[in-house]
Amino acid sequence: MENSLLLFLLWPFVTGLLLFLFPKKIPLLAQYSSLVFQIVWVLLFVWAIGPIWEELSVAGDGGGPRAFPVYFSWDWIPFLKSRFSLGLDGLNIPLLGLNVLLSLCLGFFSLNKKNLGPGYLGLFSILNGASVGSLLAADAFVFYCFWEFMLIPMYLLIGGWGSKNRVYASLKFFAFTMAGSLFMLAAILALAFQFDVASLGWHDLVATNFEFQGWGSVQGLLFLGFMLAFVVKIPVWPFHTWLPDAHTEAPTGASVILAGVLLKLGVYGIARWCLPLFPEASAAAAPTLMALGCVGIVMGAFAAWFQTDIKKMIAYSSVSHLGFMVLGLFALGVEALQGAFFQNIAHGLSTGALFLIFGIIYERTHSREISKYGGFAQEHAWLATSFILASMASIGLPGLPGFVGEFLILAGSFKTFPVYSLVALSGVLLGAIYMLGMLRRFAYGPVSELVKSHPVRVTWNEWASLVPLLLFMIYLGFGSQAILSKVEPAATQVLTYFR
Amino acid sequence: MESSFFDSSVFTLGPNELQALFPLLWLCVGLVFSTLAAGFRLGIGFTRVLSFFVFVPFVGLLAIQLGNPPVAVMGTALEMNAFTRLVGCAVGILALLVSTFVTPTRNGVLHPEWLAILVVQVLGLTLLPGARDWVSFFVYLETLAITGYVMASLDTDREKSLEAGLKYLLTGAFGSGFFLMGAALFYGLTGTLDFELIASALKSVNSGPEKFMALSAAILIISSLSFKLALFPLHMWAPDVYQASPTAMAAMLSTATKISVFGALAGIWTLTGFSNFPELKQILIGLAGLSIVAGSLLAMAQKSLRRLFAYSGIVNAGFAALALAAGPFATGSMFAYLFIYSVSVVGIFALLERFSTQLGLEPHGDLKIENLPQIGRKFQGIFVGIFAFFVFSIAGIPPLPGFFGKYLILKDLWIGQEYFSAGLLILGTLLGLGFYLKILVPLYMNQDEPTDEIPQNKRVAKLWPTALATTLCVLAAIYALGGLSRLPRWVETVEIFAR
Repeated sequence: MENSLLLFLLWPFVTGLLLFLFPKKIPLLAQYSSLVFQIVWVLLFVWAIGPIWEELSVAGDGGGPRAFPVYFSWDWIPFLKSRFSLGLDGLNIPLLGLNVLLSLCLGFFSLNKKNLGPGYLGLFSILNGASVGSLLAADAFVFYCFWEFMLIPMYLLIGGWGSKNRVYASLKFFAFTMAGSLFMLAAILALAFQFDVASLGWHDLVATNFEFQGWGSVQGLLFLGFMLAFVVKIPVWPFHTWLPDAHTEAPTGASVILAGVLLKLGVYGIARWCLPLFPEASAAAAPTLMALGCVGIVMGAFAAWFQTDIKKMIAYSSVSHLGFMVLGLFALGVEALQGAFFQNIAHGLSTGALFLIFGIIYERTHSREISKYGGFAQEHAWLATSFILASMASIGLPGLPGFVGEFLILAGSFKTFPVYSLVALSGVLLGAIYMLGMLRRFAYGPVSELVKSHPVRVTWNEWASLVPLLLFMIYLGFGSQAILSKVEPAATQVLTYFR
Repeated sequence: MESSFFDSSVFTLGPNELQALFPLLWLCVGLVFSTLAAGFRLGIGFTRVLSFFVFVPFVGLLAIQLGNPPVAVMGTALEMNAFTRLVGCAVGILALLVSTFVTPTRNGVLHPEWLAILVVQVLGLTLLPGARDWVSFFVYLETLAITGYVMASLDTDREKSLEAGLKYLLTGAFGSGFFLMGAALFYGLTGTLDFELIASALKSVNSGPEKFMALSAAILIISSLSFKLALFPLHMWAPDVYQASPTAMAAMLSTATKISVFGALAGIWTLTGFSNFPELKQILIGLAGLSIVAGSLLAMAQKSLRRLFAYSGIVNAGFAALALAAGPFATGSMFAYLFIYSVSVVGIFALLERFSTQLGLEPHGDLKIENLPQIGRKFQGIFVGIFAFFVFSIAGIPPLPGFFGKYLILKDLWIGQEYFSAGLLILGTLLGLGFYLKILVPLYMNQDEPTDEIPQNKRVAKLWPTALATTLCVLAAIYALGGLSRLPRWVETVEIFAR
């Protein structure tokens, strides 16, 4: 278990560095090797997770669920109170699975693409390593290291392989997220050296009681420090302005990982670090954050409605959907929390698929303007069907996973804050309006010049990247228990800190 | 008091002293050989090999003796303690790295004296932190200063290099003048030049004209050393020297000097009782703050890469000064930080040298930011990757070595409750993104523009000097992290100043 987990974490870093050494002139060699590395990574994931998969849905010893079991631990930097420890539970395993799945799909997607050379693939692999590392980390300092390290490959991916305005977008992405995370660093420093904690390990921090008397007190400040990093990453309104730029300019692969993994890490970070460590502060901040979540849902939806750029529209729809997750997190109930984590997976799949499909189209047409498209379904029935399926999943149509997540969040938050729940409900309606509006203009109506003059012949590897996502989406729509049953014990466990 | 200075008994050298001096004596032997090599005008290959035989045993001998008890040589002239040896090791390693990429000038002429001058420079740098009175301090300071002027203007074919040397000489002469004035004031006030006697005399100085005199003396000495450290506003020479001197020499001047002079300043601070005056601490924090803010803003405006790194050096000197101002307990962190920074800068300069020769610019040529896209297209990913590694490392992104250096300082500032300084450090890190990312943007991000034919130099870029620097950089970080906590030698080093 220890070895397989460590190998699973190190594999993308090692293969990423290896990929840098591949010759620039033969991108095919790097692409196929990278695909092989991805497949091995999937096997490593199965090998690492397999032994504990069944345990996840069972409550731990003594009736209560086990709190974030640690499977690997190494005395890293004792005088900074940091141990290199990695843990696994129902909160991070689904996200790890999503990360592995998306990167496998992108491994197929990047085959036979002339411009995706060893540099791109290497950075991509390292990005995977960093995001997996921050999901696994059971030590605040280790978490911070991986969390910040993610910025480097992502920055270079957006800046190096993005579209026209990439330099501005990548700088904005880097500056926003790093400014947010520096507050988290300050909070971690304070945790380590201001208070008498045994180590920065998750279990030691959870066992410590930080006094809470208003926002100027210890717990209030620590909570705000951590929270700033997460709200920028999610992003919660009004910290969201970097996201549309980054999404629009990023290359397809980076967009998919950004939507599918990086944004989810903010949600995960709150559930892993903010809620259990600072329960009183979280409870006190819950109404405000839920209100911000609602504002995000409504504003994001309206902003998406009026976009003329498809990628920007999907980006704003992400802002809206992530507002739901914030709502679910701070409703502080089991259903809502489960819903937030299920919605994580659902949104990762549907938005990932949307970006992937649109990436395939954009590669041929080089236009993101909705108005230039029209009648796409007449020319390319299968691709249009996939696009519509992914859009429906994004809207939250019953039978697709988005519905389960949003329903759980709304039902859970209705118990505690009915008003917010009702406001959020309007987001579902608005989501249907802007998505269907976009589909009508994009896929139906008379066939436009652009669609006529740019035939989209989808290659086998592009289908190979797309089909697993769609199949998995349909599977989760009907078999949501597969994930919900694993998340439930972990979600219950998070909420035990609130009693 | 003066009588002890000329007491003949202190000049006798016992076996202890000889053993402690042995590394320095080896350096003198090396000096003889390198002078001979210069006299016979032996080629670059020979002097490079010779440098290996001079510096490797030097570093090795110092490292073996690192844990030996402190030995006072010739009274107050020199104290060979753990810190002096540590600085010697660091400086020797940097000199060794620098000798690997010393390159002939435009006409293929390289003054073969470079090694002899470098050896004397290393001698001065090693001795400086060991001085225990102002006379020997001045002798060592001038040893490194005068060789520094020669190094800056070693490329006698180029007017720019001569101009840089002259500028360095003129500002250096000002610095020496300030220093002598300060030492004279101390002598006038206390009647001695011995550090310990000055410290005990200063203890009773609390107010009135005496305090004014002591403060002015200390300020004069701090400002004279600030010239060497290139702290704002005494930095004027640095950009020119960085830009126009031979690359290898510029790398040495910008890194090794900082380690040695900061080490010496940390010694002076406690040994001569500067720490009794809180005003001095505030002045140092003020200088550091100015360096960080002004250095960052000026760096953002630069077009020449080497000038940009000069300003980044000013910012980094500011960070180290913050650690120095915090007190003797932060000396270990300051040293670790400076060493990691130095190795990274040497690596960057080695790469810049390779890049400019490959692009057909003259050796020691001045790379502009506009040349960077060419580099990004031209070179194997591994070179560009290592370059990015160093730049991100200096910028302080985890888990690259530079981050740990910064984190160590931040930790000590936090423990010492220097919240203002900690804020400055974080502000500086954020501002730093403004220019470090500016370098990486064109390096990676203009790849799709038409590939212009670049006149290619036949010589293949050598990887190993930079690979060596990379390895060292990583090792230094690991050593600093493991070493600060685990090896008692480090603790002893820190305690020497805490005494």
